[in-house]
Amino acid sequence: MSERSGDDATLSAELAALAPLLDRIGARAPTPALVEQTLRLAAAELARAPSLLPGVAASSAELPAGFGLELARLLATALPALALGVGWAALVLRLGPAWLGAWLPADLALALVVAQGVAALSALGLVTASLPLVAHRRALLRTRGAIG
Amino acid sequence: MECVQAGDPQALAALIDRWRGPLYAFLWRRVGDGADDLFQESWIRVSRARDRFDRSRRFSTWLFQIANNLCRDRWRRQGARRRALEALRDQTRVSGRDRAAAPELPSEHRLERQLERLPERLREVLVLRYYQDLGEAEIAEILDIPRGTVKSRLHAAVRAARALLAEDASRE
Repeated sequence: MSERSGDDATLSAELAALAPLLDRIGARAPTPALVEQTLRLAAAELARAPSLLPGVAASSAELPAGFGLELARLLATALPALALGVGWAALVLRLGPAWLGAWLPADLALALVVAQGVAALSALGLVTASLPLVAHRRALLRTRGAIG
Repeated sequence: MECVQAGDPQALAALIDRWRGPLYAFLWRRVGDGADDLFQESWIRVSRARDRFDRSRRFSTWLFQIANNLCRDRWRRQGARRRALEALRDQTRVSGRDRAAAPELPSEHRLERQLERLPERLREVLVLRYYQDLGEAEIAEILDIPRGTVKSRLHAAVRAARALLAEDASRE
């Protein structure tokens, strides 16, 4: 330990007083086997394309095996719900102005209905757009055996 | 680091060779027996995140930042188990009468155990300042805290360490 220019005198003195005890706590060195294994694993990471975000798999030009099947599975699950969502949005757009118009000015009723329709369709669009990403991730996890 | 970012494994090997001692010593003082795993994980993360390294920064700061974050994660995960062990240790604290019967550990191990009792946030600043000989600015960058906080934690760490180590010294 050396005295640092940022340390105040009190801290330096306290650290110096503790030094005889702290110095008795030795350090260890990594074993050659550990270093060799570490280099092997770290070098393997070098060979992969770098990931853009922590925790996200590195990008690749090829789709992972099983991607098509995963996407089909997700679509099969999501389609009924998507159809219901689109149907409901269509119903609101069709009947909403007349229904709301009984209590609200016509312009306001129309604006509210359109706003609701835009929100619903945006949400549905987001869900639909996320399906390929989820399918990609699931295909990767299935390849690694993380999921059955 | 520029060569590592270009994917040169020999540059990576040189980097590991240059920093293996200081990094492992740091990890040993922070987590003890878990140093092997964290040593490997640190370098894997260096490789994985190589493109995110800003070359205007010091590599050592980035490396120790990665390593310290791993230590913190490990500490958090082991939090419950550690608290249980500490409770057990308190319950089975040997009295003067039993001390002769209890096996005496080497002094170095006892000191290590005493330092393990420091709160995590104090232990990390003390190890970085004393054993890694880093300045407050660099410690602040590694821990992502203000310099003033580093200073106050160092003072607190020194006071706490003095109390713990004196407790051990009085037993000798």
